[in-house]
Amino acid sequence: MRWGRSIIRSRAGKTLVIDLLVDTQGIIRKCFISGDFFAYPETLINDIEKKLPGCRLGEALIMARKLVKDSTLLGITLEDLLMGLRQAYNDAVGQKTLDTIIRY
Amino acid sequence: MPEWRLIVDEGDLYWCMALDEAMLQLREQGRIPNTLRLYRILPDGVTIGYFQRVEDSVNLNYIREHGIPLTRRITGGGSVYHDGSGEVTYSVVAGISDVGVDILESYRRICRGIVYALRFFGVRAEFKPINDVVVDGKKISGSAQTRRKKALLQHGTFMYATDLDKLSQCLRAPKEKLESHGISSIRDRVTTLSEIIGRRPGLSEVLEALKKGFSRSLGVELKPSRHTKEELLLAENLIAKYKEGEWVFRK
Repeated sequence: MRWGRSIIRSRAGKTLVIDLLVDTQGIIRKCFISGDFFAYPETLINDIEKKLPGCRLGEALIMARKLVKDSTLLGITLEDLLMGLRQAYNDAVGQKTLDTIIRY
Repeated sequence: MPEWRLIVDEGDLYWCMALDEAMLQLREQGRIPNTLRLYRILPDGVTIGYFQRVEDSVNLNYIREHGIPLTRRITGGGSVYHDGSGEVTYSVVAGISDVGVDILESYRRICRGIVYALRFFGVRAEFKPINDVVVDGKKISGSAQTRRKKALLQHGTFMYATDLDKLSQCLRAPKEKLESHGISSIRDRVTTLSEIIGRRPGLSEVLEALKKGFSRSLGVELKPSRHTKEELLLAENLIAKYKEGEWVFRK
Protein backbone atom coordinates (compact mmCIF):
# COMPACT_ATOMS: atom_id res chain seq x y z
CA MET A 1 0.00 0.00 0.00
CA ARG A 2 1.26 3.45 -0.87
CA TRP A 3 0.12 7.01 -0.40
CA GLY A 4 -0.10 9.33 -3.37
CA ARG A 5 -0.65 13.08 -3.30
CA SER A 6 -1.66 15.68 -5.86
CA ILE A 7 -1.80 19.44 -5.50
CA ILE A 8 -3.92 21.26 -8.04
CA ARG A 9 -3.93 25.00 -8.39
CA SER A 10 -7.22 26.01 -10.00
CA ARG A 11 -7.77 28.82 -12.49
CA ALA A 12 -9.79 30.64 -9.82
CA GLY A 13 -6.70 30.66 -7.61
CA LYS A 14 -7.77 27.98 -5.14
CA THR A 15 -5.80 24.95 -4.05
CA LEU A 16 -7.02 21.36 -4.08
CA VAL A 17 -4.99 18.69 -2.29
CA ILE A 18 -5.85 15.01 -2.65
CA ASP A 19 -4.27 12.17 -0.72
CA LEU A 20 -5.02 8.59 -1.77
CA LEU A 21 -3.90 5.35 -0.19
CA VAL A 22 -3.82 2.66 -2.89
CA ASP A 23 -3.21 -1.05 -2.22
CA THR A 24 -1.09 -3.46 -4.28
CA GLN A 25 -4.20 -4.51 -6.25
CA GLY A 26 -4.74 -0.92 -7.39
CA ILE A 27 -7.74 -0.38 -5.14
CA ILE A 28 -8.17 2.90 -3.28
CA ARG A 29 -8.21 2.32 0.48
CA LYS A 30 -8.31 5.87 1.83
CA CYS A 31 -9.13 9.28 0.37
CA PHE A 32 -8.63 12.74 1.84
CA ILE A 33 -9.59 15.92 0.02
CA SER A 34 -8.61 19.33 1.33
CA GLY A 35 -8.07 22.92 0.27
CA ASP A 36 -9.43 26.46 0.31
CA PHE A 37 -12.23 25.92 -2.22
CA PHE A 38 -15.99 25.91 -1.62
CA ALA A 39 -18.58 23.15 -2.07
CA TYR A 40 -22.36 23.46 -1.81
CA PRO A 41 -23.45 21.51 0.09
CA GLU A 42 -20.24 20.92 2.05
CA THR A 43 -21.21 17.26 2.63
CA LEU A 44 -20.20 16.57 -0.98
CA ILE A 45 -16.52 16.32 -0.05
CA ASN A 46 -17.17 13.94 2.82
CA ASP A 47 -19.37 11.84 0.51
CA ILE A 48 -16.57 11.54 -2.04
CA GLU A 49 -14.04 10.64 0.69
CA LYS A 50 -16.41 7.91 1.94
CA LYS A 51 -17.38 6.45 -1.44
CA LEU A 52 -13.99 6.19 -3.19
CA PRO A 53 -12.40 3.56 -0.94
CA GLY A 54 -12.98 0.18 -2.61
CA CYS A 55 -12.79 1.68 -6.11
CA ARG A 56 -10.14 1.40 -8.78
CA LEU A 57 -9.21 4.63 -10.55
CA GLY A 58 -11.78 4.33 -13.34
CA GLU A 59 -14.62 3.60 -10.94
CA ALA A 60 -13.46 6.39 -8.64
CA LEU A 61 -13.59 8.95 -11.43
CA ILE A 62 -17.07 7.86 -12.44
CA MET A 63 -18.20 7.96 -8.81
CA ALA A 64 -16.75 11.44 -8.24
CA ARG A 65 -18.40 12.75 -11.38
CA LYS A 66 -21.73 11.30 -10.32
CA LEU A 67 -21.54 12.80 -6.82
CA VAL A 68 -20.58 16.27 -8.04
CA LYS A 69 -23.49 16.32 -10.47
CA ASP A 70 -26.06 17.41 -7.89
CA SER A 71 -23.71 19.81 -6.07
CA THR A 72 -21.84 23.01 -6.79
CA LEU A 73 -18.08 23.37 -6.59
CA LEU A 74 -16.76 26.91 -6.38
CA GLY A 75 -13.11 27.81 -6.82
CA ILE A 76 -12.32 24.43 -8.34
CA THR A 77 -13.99 22.60 -11.21
CA LEU A 78 -15.05 19.00 -11.67
CA GLU A 79 -12.11 18.66 -14.08
CA ASP A 80 -9.70 19.86 -11.37
CA LEU A 81 -11.09 17.22 -9.05
CA LEU A 82 -10.80 14.43 -11.63
CA MET A 83 -7.28 15.49 -12.60
CA GLY A 84 -6.33 15.63 -8.92
CA LEU A 85 -7.65 12.11 -8.34
CA ARG A 86 -5.79 10.80 -11.38
CA GLN A 87 -2.52 12.45 -10.35
CA ALA A 88 -2.76 11.32 -6.73
CA TYR A 89 -3.54 7.77 -7.86
CA ASN A 90 -0.67 7.71 -10.32
CA ASP A 91 1.62 9.09 -7.65
CA ALA A 92 0.58 6.25 -5.35
CA VAL A 93 1.09 3.51 -7.92
CA GLY A 94 4.29 5.09 -9.18
CA GLN A 95 3.12 5.74 -12.72
CA LYS A 96 3.76 9.36 -13.45
CA THR A 97 2.58 9.46 -17.05
CA LEU A 98 -0.21 6.91 -16.95
CA ASP A 99 -3.20 8.22 -18.82
CA THR A 100 -6.20 6.13 -18.00
CA ILE A 101 -8.92 5.88 -20.59
CA ILE A 102 -12.35 5.92 -19.08
CA ARG A 103 -15.74 5.80 -20.70
CA TYR A 104 -18.19 8.07 -18.92
CA MET B 1 -36.83 49.19 2.04
CA PRO B 2 -36.74 45.89 3.94
CA GLU B 3 -35.54 46.13 7.51
CA TRP B 4 -32.66 44.01 8.84
CA ARG B 5 -31.19 43.73 12.29
CA LEU B 6 -27.81 45.31 12.88
CA ILE B 7 -25.82 43.84 15.73
CA VAL B 8 -22.41 45.12 16.80
CA ASP B 9 -20.53 43.02 19.33
CA GLU B 10 -17.19 41.50 20.26
CA GLY B 11 -15.92 38.34 21.89
CA ASP B 12 -13.37 35.57 21.75
CA LEU B 13 -12.81 33.51 18.62
CA TYR B 14 -14.84 30.48 19.70
CA TRP B 15 -17.83 32.50 20.85
CA CYS B 16 -17.79 34.59 17.67
CA MET B 17 -17.80 31.51 15.43
CA ALA B 18 -20.42 29.77 17.59
CA LEU B 19 -22.68 32.79 17.37
CA ASP B 20 -22.45 32.92 13.57
CA GLU B 21 -23.45 29.26 13.41
CA ALA B 22 -26.27 29.78 15.92
CA MET B 23 -27.61 32.65 13.83
CA LEU B 24 -27.53 30.51 10.68
CA GLN B 25 -29.42 27.68 12.37
CA LEU B 26 -32.04 30.01 13.81
CA ARG B 27 -32.47 31.89 10.54
CA GLU B 28 -32.96 28.54 8.79
CA GLN B 29 -35.75 27.78 11.28
CA GLY B 30 -37.27 31.21 10.72
CA ARG B 31 -36.68 32.14 14.35
CA ILE B 32 -34.64 35.30 13.73
CA PRO B 33 -34.84 37.97 11.03
CA ASN B 34 -32.16 38.81 8.45
CA THR B 35 -29.15 40.22 10.23
CA LEU B 36 -25.90 42.07 9.61
CA ARG B 37 -23.47 41.47 12.44
CA LEU B 38 -20.26 43.48 12.83
CA TYR B 39 -17.80 42.17 15.37
CA ARG B 40 -14.28 42.20 16.73
CA ILE B 41 -12.48 39.03 17.70
CA LEU B 42 -10.65 39.65 20.96
CA PRO B 43 -8.04 38.49 21.63
CA ASP B 44 -6.86 37.98 18.04
CA GLY B 45 -7.27 34.50 16.56
CA VAL B 46 -6.95 32.35 13.46
CA THR B 47 -9.66 30.48 11.56
CA ILE B 48 -9.23 27.94 8.80
CA GLY B 49 -11.70 26.91 6.09
CA TYR B 50 -13.99 23.92 6.47
CA PHE B 51 -11.97 21.80 4.01
CA GLN B 52 -8.47 22.87 4.98
CA ARG B 53 -5.80 20.81 6.67
CA VAL B 54 -4.36 22.60 9.67
CA GLU B 55 -0.72 21.91 8.80
CA ASP B 56 -1.15 23.12 5.20
CA SER B 57 -2.86 26.38 6.08
CA VAL B 58 -1.36 27.79 9.28
CA ASN B 59 2.00 28.03 10.97
CA LEU B 60 1.06 25.87 13.93
CA ASN B 61 4.35 26.35 15.78
CA TYR B 62 4.02 30.13 15.70
CA ILE B 63 0.36 30.03 16.73
CA ARG B 64 1.10 27.71 19.66
CA GLU B 65 4.16 29.65 20.79
CA HIS B 66 2.14 32.85 20.89
CA GLY B 67 -0.98 31.28 22.41
CA ILE B 68 -3.18 32.42 19.52
CA PRO B 69 -6.62 30.75 19.50
CA LEU B 70 -7.28 28.59 16.42
CA THR B 71 -10.49 27.09 15.14
CA ARG B 72 -12.14 25.74 12.01
CA ARG B 73 -15.03 27.56 10.36
CA ILE B 74 -18.20 25.94 9.03
CA THR B 75 -17.52 27.86 5.81
CA GLY B 76 -15.06 26.89 3.09
CA GLY B 77 -12.24 29.09 1.85
CA GLY B 78 -8.82 29.82 3.28
CA SER B 79 -7.12 30.59 6.56
CA VAL B 80 -7.72 33.97 8.19
CA TYR B 81 -5.88 35.99 10.83
CA HIS B 82 -8.42 37.99 12.82
CA ASP B 83 -6.72 40.96 14.43
CA GLY B 84 -9.29 42.30 16.89
CA SER B 85 -7.54 45.65 17.09
CA GLY B 86 -7.22 46.17 13.34
CA GLU B 87 -9.95 44.16 11.73
CA VAL B 88 -13.74 44.07 11.82
CA THR B 89 -15.42 40.81 10.88
CA TYR B 90 -18.87 40.96 9.34
CA SER B 91 -21.50 38.30 9.01
CA VAL B 92 -24.62 38.34 6.94
CA VAL B 93 -27.28 35.84 7.97
CA ALA B 94 -30.29 35.96 5.70
CA GLY B 95 -32.79 34.07 3.63
CA ILE B 96 -31.23 32.83 0.39
CA SER B 97 -34.09 34.34 -1.61
CA ASP B 98 -33.45 37.71 0.08
CA VAL B 99 -29.82 37.89 -1.04
CA GLY B 100 -29.61 35.81 -4.20
CA VAL B 101 -30.18 32.23 -5.22
CA ASP B 102 -27.13 32.22 -7.51
CA ILE B 103 -24.14 31.59 -5.24
CA LEU B 104 -21.57 33.74 -7.03
CA GLU B 105 -24.06 36.60 -7.40
CA SER B 106 -24.76 36.52 -3.67
CA TYR B 107 -21.02 36.71 -2.96
CA ARG B 108 -20.79 39.68 -5.29
CA ARG B 109 -23.74 41.45 -3.72
CA ILE B 110 -22.53 41.04 -0.16
CA CYS B 111 -18.88 41.81 -0.99
CA ARG B 112 -20.01 45.00 -2.69
CA GLY B 113 -20.87 46.22 0.80
CA ILE B 114 -17.12 46.20 1.51
CA VAL B 115 -16.40 47.97 -1.77
CA TYR B 116 -18.92 50.71 -0.89
CA ALA B 117 -17.55 51.00 2.64
CA LEU B 118 -14.07 51.62 1.24
CA ARG B 119 -15.48 54.30 -1.04
CA PHE B 120 -16.34 56.36 2.06
CA PHE B 121 -12.60 56.58 2.65
CA GLY B 122 -11.99 57.56 -0.96
CA VAL B 123 -10.55 54.15 -1.82
CA ARG B 124 -11.39 52.42 -5.08
CA ALA B 125 -11.72 48.71 -4.48
CA GLU B 126 -13.10 45.90 -6.55
CA PHE B 127 -14.75 42.57 -5.98
CA LYS B 128 -12.47 39.80 -7.19
CA PRO B 129 -14.45 36.61 -7.64
CA ILE B 130 -14.94 34.36 -5.91
CA ASN B 131 -14.60 35.84 -2.47
CA ASP B 132 -12.07 38.67 -2.30
CA VAL B 133 -12.12 42.45 -2.32
CA VAL B 134 -8.89 43.94 -3.61
CA VAL B 135 -7.28 47.37 -3.90
CA ASP B 136 -4.64 47.61 -6.63
CA GLY B 137 -4.55 43.83 -6.76
CA LYS B 138 -3.95 43.42 -3.03
CA LYS B 139 -6.47 41.70 -0.80
CA ILE B 140 -8.12 43.86 1.84
CA SER B 141 -11.09 41.60 2.56
CA GLY B 142 -11.90 37.91 2.20
CA SER B 143 -15.27 36.22 2.64
CA ALA B 144 -16.75 32.77 2.90
CA GLN B 145 -20.32 31.57 2.57
CA THR B 146 -22.23 28.47 3.56
CA ARG B 147 -25.83 27.61 2.84
CA ARG B 148 -28.60 25.56 4.32
CA LYS B 149 -31.92 24.96 2.55
CA LYS B 150 -33.38 28.42 3.11
CA ALA B 151 -30.70 30.49 4.80
CA LEU B 152 -27.13 31.52 4.15
CA LEU B 153 -24.27 32.73 6.31
CA GLN B 154 -21.52 34.79 4.76
CA HIS B 155 -18.79 36.12 6.96
CA GLY B 156 -15.62 37.96 6.08
CA THR B 157 -12.92 40.37 7.08
CA PHE B 158 -12.42 44.11 6.74
CA MET B 159 -8.75 44.79 7.37
CA TYR B 160 -8.53 48.44 8.36
CA ALA B 161 -5.30 48.20 10.32
CA THR B 162 -4.47 44.49 10.65
CA ASP B 163 -0.93 43.68 11.74
CA LEU B 164 0.16 42.21 8.41
CA ASP B 165 3.51 40.97 9.69
CA LYS B 166 1.72 38.91 12.31
CA LEU B 167 -0.78 37.79 9.70
CA SER B 168 1.96 36.43 7.47
CA GLN B 169 3.59 34.73 10.46
CA CYS B 170 0.34 32.95 11.35
CA LEU B 171 -0.83 31.87 7.93
CA ARG B 172 0.70 29.46 5.50
CA ALA B 173 -0.12 29.21 1.83
CA PRO B 174 0.79 26.14 -0.19
CA LYS B 175 3.91 26.77 -2.26
CA GLU B 176 1.95 26.27 -5.46
CA LYS B 177 -0.41 29.02 -4.45
CA LEU B 178 2.29 31.63 -4.07
CA GLU B 179 4.11 30.67 -7.23
CA SER B 180 1.12 31.20 -9.48
CA HIS B 181 0.70 34.68 -8.00
CA GLY B 182 4.31 35.33 -8.88
CA ILE B 183 4.91 36.76 -5.41
CA SER B 184 7.09 35.39 -2.70
CA SER B 185 5.04 35.90 0.44
CA ILE B 186 1.57 36.39 1.82
CA ARG B 187 2.67 39.77 3.15
CA ASP B 188 2.95 41.16 -0.38
CA ARG B 189 -0.52 40.02 -1.38
CA VAL B 190 -2.49 41.80 1.33
CA THR B 191 -3.06 45.38 2.38
CA THR B 192 -5.04 47.41 4.92
CA LEU B 193 -7.09 50.57 4.77
CA SER B 194 -4.57 52.25 7.04
CA GLU B 195 -1.71 51.37 4.68
CA ILE B 196 -3.62 52.82 1.72
CA ILE B 197 -4.84 56.10 3.21
CA GLY B 198 -1.78 56.73 5.34
CA ARG B 199 -3.62 57.11 8.64
CA ARG B 200 -5.22 54.74 11.08
CA PRO B 201 -9.02 55.08 10.87
CA GLY B 202 -10.99 54.92 14.11
CA LEU B 203 -13.18 51.92 14.87
CA SER B 204 -16.37 53.99 14.92
CA GLU B 205 -15.51 55.44 11.52
CA VAL B 206 -14.99 51.92 10.16
CA LEU B 207 -18.25 50.61 11.63
CA GLU B 208 -20.17 53.56 10.21
CA ALA B 209 -18.72 53.00 6.73
CA LEU B 210 -19.55 49.27 6.88
CA LYS B 211 -23.14 49.98 7.95
CA LYS B 212 -23.63 52.39 5.08
CA GLY B 213 -21.84 50.11 2.62
CA PHE B 214 -23.90 47.03 3.43
CA SER B 215 -27.13 48.99 3.67
CA ARG B 216 -26.50 50.15 0.12
CA SER B 217 -25.33 46.85 -1.37
CA LEU B 218 -28.15 44.88 0.23
CA GLY B 219 -30.78 47.59 -0.28
CA VAL B 220 -31.92 47.36 3.32
CA GLU B 221 -32.46 49.57 6.33
CA LEU B 222 -30.37 48.46 9.29
CA LYS B 223 -31.98 48.68 12.73
CA PRO B 224 -29.62 48.45 15.71
CA SER B 225 -30.57 45.40 17.72
CA ARG B 226 -29.35 42.72 20.13
CA HIS B 227 -29.04 38.96 20.07
CA THR B 228 -32.06 37.07 21.36
CA LYS B 229 -31.74 34.85 24.43
CA GLU B 230 -32.21 31.84 22.19
CA GLU B 231 -29.29 32.89 19.97
CA LEU B 232 -27.00 33.41 22.94
CA LEU B 233 -27.99 30.10 24.51
CA LEU B 234 -27.47 28.16 21.27
CA ALA B 235 -24.11 29.88 20.79
CA GLU B 236 -23.06 28.87 24.31
CA ASN B 237 -23.86 25.27 23.45
CA LEU B 238 -21.84 25.43 20.22
CA ILE B 239 -18.68 26.89 21.78
CA ALA B 240 -17.42 23.49 22.94
CA LYS B 241 -17.29 22.21 19.35
CA TYR B 242 -15.10 25.10 18.23
CA LYS B 243 -12.63 24.36 21.03
CA GLU B 244 -12.45 20.61 20.41
CA GLY B 245 -9.39 19.13 18.75
CA GLU B 246 -11.65 16.72 16.92
CA TRP B 247 -13.28 19.62 15.08
CA VAL B 248 -10.20 21.79 14.59
CA PHE B 249 -8.00 18.91 13.42
CA ARG B 250 -10.66 16.95 11.57
CA LYS B 251 -8.55 17.18 8.40
